[in-house]
Amino acid sequence: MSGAAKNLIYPILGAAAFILLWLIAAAAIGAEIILPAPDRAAVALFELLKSGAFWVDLAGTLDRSLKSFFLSFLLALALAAASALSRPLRRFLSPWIVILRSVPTISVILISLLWLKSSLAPIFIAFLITFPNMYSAIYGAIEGVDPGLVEMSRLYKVRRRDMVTRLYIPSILPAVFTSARSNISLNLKIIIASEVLAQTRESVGMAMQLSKIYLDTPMLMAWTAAAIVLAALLELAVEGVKRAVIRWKA
Amino acid sequence: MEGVTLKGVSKSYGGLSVLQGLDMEFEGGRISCILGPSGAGKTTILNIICGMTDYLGTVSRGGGAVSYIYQDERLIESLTVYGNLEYVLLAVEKDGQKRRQAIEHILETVELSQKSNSYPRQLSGGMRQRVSMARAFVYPSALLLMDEPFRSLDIALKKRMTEAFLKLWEADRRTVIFVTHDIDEALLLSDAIYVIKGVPAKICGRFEVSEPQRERDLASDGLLRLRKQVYRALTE
Repeated sequence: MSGAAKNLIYPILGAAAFILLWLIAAAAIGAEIILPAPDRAAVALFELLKSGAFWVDLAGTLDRSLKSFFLSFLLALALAAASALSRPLRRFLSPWIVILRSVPTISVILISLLWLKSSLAPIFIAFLITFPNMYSAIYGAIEGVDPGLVEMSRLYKVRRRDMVTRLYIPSILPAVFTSARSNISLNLKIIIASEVLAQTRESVGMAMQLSKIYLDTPMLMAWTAAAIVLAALLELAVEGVKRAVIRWKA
Repeated sequence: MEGVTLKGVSKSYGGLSVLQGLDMEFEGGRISCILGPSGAGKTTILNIICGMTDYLGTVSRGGGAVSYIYQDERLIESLTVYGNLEYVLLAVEKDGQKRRQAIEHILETVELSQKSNSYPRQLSGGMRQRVSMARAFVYPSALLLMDEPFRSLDIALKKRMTEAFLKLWEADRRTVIFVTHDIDEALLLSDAIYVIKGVPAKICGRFEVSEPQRERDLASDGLLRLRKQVYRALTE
């Protein structure tokens, strides 16, 4: 068996086992309203893909998810870099990060719903949850740059801008991409959950909520599958950029 | 070429005094060696000379640039071999063409021209050490420090590395101070050898080797005699 085939066979077997388990559970329960069979969910997904509303809802959620992600990512990057340069700033930010990391997610959601309109609340909620994760990961990566290389650079009197572009940025990129990859899908999950609670128009969350209200469980499963595929595509996009940028580890 | 003088140099880590009132003199344009067992403060002396650590006492040197061959190479994994050499030259050689010529010439000297576009992880241990050596020599320094540069290399590789080092050094004969715990390495490369041991470190002997490096033979009577003296200073 070739290497590529070996890499594929186990994920395929894993997915097949999941569907089989789903099939057995659906047959055992025998009530579509509680757990529809996979083929019913597949039919519902197919119908969904043909409808124009699906793409509008999906685009709305994707738009909010990307806005929130890039807001978190860029602010985390800028503040982590500034914190690495300034100890007072790092100390100033530390209670903010601790609070944001430990505050219960549901509190963030409920408070944000009171403050903001339904289209903005999901963006703000996902930002508040993913920002401290990314800040900590990027700051940790900057602090983790090999001190031996920093010392070597100082000895050779390398200019600060050359140190930043040729030592610091390439050194932190692997950790930045790892953090971006896990947070981009987490971000999408939070956006959808917030859309459900905020009843955001033109959103996956709202479509899921309507499926639940109409007791259309196959449709709910179809939306879930669509969200999973979207999260996987976002993670793949980050991985693609990572591979294009980090060539020295290829 | 500038020499280096240490007068009454002391250094402590926490409560432990590793150097106490140390006096040393390294002549300009020569290769000097600090020979001693592990933990005798040899690397600390190099770090004091290049200003990478604080200390008490006086260190006099001309103030010119310093280059350093580290034990652990310290190459940037995201830069190619060429990029690692260019990294230290960007601030000192603004002319890109001259920079390229200097790097290509030094890579040819250390027989790494073919590896110019390789990343460090694609190189063997010996090649990585040669890149570190090339970086130290391509940088226009007046003083070169080396911290056990040939440690953990097999005999054949050590010989090739020593030859590469001498080839580079003979081109401009900059002042070299290196530390090692290997007597043979000290005898083959150095013009002057300081033997240190103990905590805090004390100088137990200073020896001169007059023969030109390329004519030295460890089996010759002169070097065998000197080896015995150095060994005694190191162990008694």
